[in-house]
Amino acid sequence: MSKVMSKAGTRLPLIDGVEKVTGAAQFTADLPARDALVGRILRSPVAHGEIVRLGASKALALEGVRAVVTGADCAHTYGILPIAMNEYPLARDKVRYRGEPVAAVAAIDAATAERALALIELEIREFPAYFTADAALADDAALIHDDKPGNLERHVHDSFGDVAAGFAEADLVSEETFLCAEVTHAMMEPHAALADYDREHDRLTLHTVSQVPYYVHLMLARCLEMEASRIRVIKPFVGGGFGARTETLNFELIVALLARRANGKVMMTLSREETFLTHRGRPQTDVRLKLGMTRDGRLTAADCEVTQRGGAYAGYGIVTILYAGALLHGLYDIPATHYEGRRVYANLPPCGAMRGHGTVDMRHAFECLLDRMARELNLDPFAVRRRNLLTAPMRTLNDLMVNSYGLDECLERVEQASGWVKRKGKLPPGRGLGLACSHYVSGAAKAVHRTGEPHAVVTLKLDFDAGVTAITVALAVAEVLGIDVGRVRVVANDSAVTPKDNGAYSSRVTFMVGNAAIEAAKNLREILIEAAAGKLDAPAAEIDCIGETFRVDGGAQSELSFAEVTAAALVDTGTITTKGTFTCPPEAQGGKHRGGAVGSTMGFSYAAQVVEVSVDEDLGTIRVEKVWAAHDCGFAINPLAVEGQVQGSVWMGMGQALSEETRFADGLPVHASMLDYGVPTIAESPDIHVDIVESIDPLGPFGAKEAGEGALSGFPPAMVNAVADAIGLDVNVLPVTPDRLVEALTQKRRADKRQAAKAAKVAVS
Amino acid sequence: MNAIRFLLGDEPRTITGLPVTTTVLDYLRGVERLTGTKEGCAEGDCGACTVVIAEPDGTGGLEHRSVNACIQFIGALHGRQLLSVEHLRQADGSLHPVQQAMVDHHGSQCGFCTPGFVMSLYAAWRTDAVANRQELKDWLSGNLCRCTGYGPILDAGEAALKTPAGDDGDTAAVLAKLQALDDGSMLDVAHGDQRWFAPHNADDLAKIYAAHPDAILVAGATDVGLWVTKQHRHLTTLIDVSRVVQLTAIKETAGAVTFGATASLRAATAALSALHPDLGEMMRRFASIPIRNTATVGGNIANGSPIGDLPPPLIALGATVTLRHGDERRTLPLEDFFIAYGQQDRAPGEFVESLTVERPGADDLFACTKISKRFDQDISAVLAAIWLRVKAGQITDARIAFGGMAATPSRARRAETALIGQPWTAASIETACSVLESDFTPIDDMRASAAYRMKAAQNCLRRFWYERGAPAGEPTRVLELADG
Repeated sequence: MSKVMSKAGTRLPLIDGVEKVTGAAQFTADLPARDALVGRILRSPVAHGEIVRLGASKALALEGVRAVVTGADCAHTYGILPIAMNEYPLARDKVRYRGEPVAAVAAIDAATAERALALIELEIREFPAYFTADAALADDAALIHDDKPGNLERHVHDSFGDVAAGFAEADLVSEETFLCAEVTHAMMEPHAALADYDREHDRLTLHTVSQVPYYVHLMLARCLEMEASRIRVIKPFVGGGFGARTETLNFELIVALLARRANGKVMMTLSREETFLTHRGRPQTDVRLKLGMTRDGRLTAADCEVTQRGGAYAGYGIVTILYAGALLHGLYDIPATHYEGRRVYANLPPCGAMRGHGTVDMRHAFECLLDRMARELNLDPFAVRRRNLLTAPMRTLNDLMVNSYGLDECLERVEQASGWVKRKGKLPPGRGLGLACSHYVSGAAKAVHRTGEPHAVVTLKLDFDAGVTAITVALAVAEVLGIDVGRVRVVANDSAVTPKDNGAYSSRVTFMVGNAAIEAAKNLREILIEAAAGKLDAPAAEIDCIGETFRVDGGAQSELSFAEVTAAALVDTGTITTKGTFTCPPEAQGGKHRGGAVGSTMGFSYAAQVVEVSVDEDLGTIRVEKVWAAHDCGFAINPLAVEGQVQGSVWMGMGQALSEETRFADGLPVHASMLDYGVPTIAESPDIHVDIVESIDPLGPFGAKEAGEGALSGFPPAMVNAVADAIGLDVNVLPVTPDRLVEALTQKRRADKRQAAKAAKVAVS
Repeated sequence: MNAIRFLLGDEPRTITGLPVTTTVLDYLRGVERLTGTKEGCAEGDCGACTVVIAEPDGTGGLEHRSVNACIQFIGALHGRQLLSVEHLRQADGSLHPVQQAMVDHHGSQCGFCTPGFVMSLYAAWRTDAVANRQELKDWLSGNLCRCTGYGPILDAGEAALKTPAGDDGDTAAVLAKLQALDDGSMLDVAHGDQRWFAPHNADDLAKIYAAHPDAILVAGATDVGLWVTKQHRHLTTLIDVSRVVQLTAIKETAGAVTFGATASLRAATAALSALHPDLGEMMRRFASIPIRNTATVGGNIANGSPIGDLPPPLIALGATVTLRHGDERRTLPLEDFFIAYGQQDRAPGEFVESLTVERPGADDLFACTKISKRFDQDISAVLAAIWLRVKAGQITDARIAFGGMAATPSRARRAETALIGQPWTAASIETACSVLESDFTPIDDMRASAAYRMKAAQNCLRRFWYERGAPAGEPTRVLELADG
């Protein structure tokens, strides 16, 4: 193996790539579990109703069945926000969506577990069920949750600046409504969890697919009434999450309940359908948006109304609806905004956080309308965006900090790369170019759980053979220590070993954990320099470590290897551990208004992208020819990884724009397979050219910001804008499936004809 | 033979004590504890379970096929070699070139889909099946990845496939081991109330099926596999028809092509493309390579599904189907085989033996269009197939068949009648478009709205004129939608 000297900014392949390509990487369902019982869940066949009877005795009597649990076994709700935990692991009294867990079985094998499920007697008195936001909001609709009148989970009003004056000042005011279908993560790995309970010591170990084992830990303690210190949560390799696994999910609690009841080990693997049912994706979102603009393209005001169909339980819902309003800000300079957000309950699987949390559908509406207004004012799409840029550092109207801002450069890059100036308007019929911009947070500056603890903690351990054990962000650690990245062993999340951490979501790892890792590495470096100073008999201030070699400044002859210095440092102390922490300062944690913390971050990423499409008007099909994306990630610690993240984001946006959507028939998901849900295959996926823009954020680790979410929300509007360029048709519905495109085209032609007839009439008279 | 015998890597295995409908995936993960092969969907939609099966190619070599382990039954392994991701490491322990390329190009993020991609790439490397980036895209379309956007995987694939394709130096040894496994007699395995037969010739098949008319015929198991993994049905008697030599043949003559019922879709692709390029393009989007490697021409028809992609174009081309029961054979027009939803003209114990299609003649015009929400590997919202015979500017004959417009693949009889005897003009096509509305009452479902289906079907007809009939200078696009 050639030794790649790590350097932040080096294109470095995945650290665990070999395990992944050989099949050695063990995901939860791969863990040795021959001795484990098999867990299975009984789910409600009804979308809304009262559980009249739930009889488990026959199931329990079946040979080979070791445990049956029902709602009676857990009287505690769980959830993500302390103020909105309204879901039980297993339904109690009421069911609120088709597929909601009502009971679970642990048995010696899958066949026995399935037979036991069939023996559970379940009787439900049905209530009227609501599958759209409008139906749930109707005056006479029954309540899905008794404490939520009108089936409204949260109504948000936010106003900043003088909106009326802004619209009055505008030369053009436009308003449109956009309907964006619900989408879901569809990560490749179906859900799975392995629970092991030891009655003698009252200890529980859970292996699970979580992105945030810490939250699972908290909810296990709450729902099982156990001390948190008796619980251990381990995260093996995780096959994607995209937000689905940031909340604790019902099966993680259910499998633990089963293991405790059975006093043993239970493996629960969910089928693909069950994984779709567990959901927590992006809700169906209706966005009504009104923008004001001066003749030269300056935005004067925005008025935005968002309705999200959140599903049966709260989940992240309040955050999602707040995000949509909060991130109206921070991308462009808008002097006045008004936002109305409604999060509505419905009898469908709960929605939650999904890549680009809360912002994607709002951004879609904004970037589409912006383009249409530019067209009306005869302005170039690039020009209108450049007219409204921010200047960092600044604070937005809603009190969010913008410390670095590379959007202008992103625009520059995609304009160049796509050949926009030369090609726009000169493509053959049916072919078009579209532009959109987007941004996203690098971790929420305010933690969900306000315990007063740091937002990120990293520990480093140094002992044998100068091997460093780190938690994540190996490159950052290697960079600070001046060592080869291969020397850094990363230990994945195991609550028995690793510090409490808020996990991998909201694009927080690079920024927050990265900063904590740098601090931990600096602390370790100090100890090593001190040891080297002793050996080299020189002042510590004059010693540096570069390329795993410690030297005295000014080219002294003597030098020490990293291993030699490690050996010296271990004398008398033994194993060395250091710690680094990171906490967002209060001024970064958002404004004082209600919900003001949402959207607050230490660093926004920025992105621009141009999408080229060809449209077949006869059949309504769209082919994405090419994408040029530029992403301001502050600083690319590993450019290869940044490119991969940006391409993945753009591509996921393409799925939402073209084909992905969940569909329910009377609450029954009809999309619940990888065939019917329709994530794009490689055959229709375009080349995605990525330009990395480095604005060097003053607070990011080496200046870095997030790279894995911000580019997603640019794709759908860039594509819809490209369709408008290609065939002169504005589409207001996502995804733009062939039937929707043809329907929109038909409507437009009808309207054009009417218009023409009217004009002819006027001309005659 | 009374036991399923095969090679796992280079080690012989004999299966005992397992249900015959155990999937290859469950066998690998549960029995062998080889967990590199993943279950992503259990229905052949995602490719996370892709493995490679090798068998003698009849010319002294080995034929390697990528397949979806999640819907293959273990009986399919008999006399063959099974390779999973764990078997790719080189003798010296280093990574196989396809694995190394995936590491180098960051072709893996979360890693869950990675073993499946590696195995698909291995099959391409081993068989030298891919010539360029576009073909690589088509080759990999059955492997879904949710992290990368596929770009790095394509780069990895291109790099890996530049390394010399090879036989890993093991062909002769594997062939010898395979030969030792199988005595050539019919496989007949029992487990509990289950029975699995795998006859080698058509006469044995006819005999067994006549004796067990309630048996389920399994070829590629791309549908039957789902009866087990998704519908949890307990199947008792199964007959594996994929080893019947006579049924796999494809016979091409100057005037016609005859497809044996168990010719795989992949094997049939070249002959279909030769019938008409539109069929080649349809096949490119028709399921994934692992599915096409096992699914068969006969299965796509005998299954009777209203959404099968082969029947409409074959009906439009006037194909006939030959059925066999014991020693009795009968031949009927393909369209008559489909009686109603879920009902075909096939008696108990009778099986589809072959399908014959005449090549379009000099006066024949043909087009086939597959319309789906996702470009490939998706069930067609509409599948349109149009065949017209035009002599001296007059339409003398017409066969227009659609999938997705009715409960079975169906001909548009009224539109055909409206065209026959008419001049080959835009006006005649326009008339046929109006008449088409009396041929079908399509439905709204998740794949498309009823209105869209009708409009798309009509536009296929219009486009047929513009592309095949319109004189130079006339528009080549449908600029006016019906009822605009």
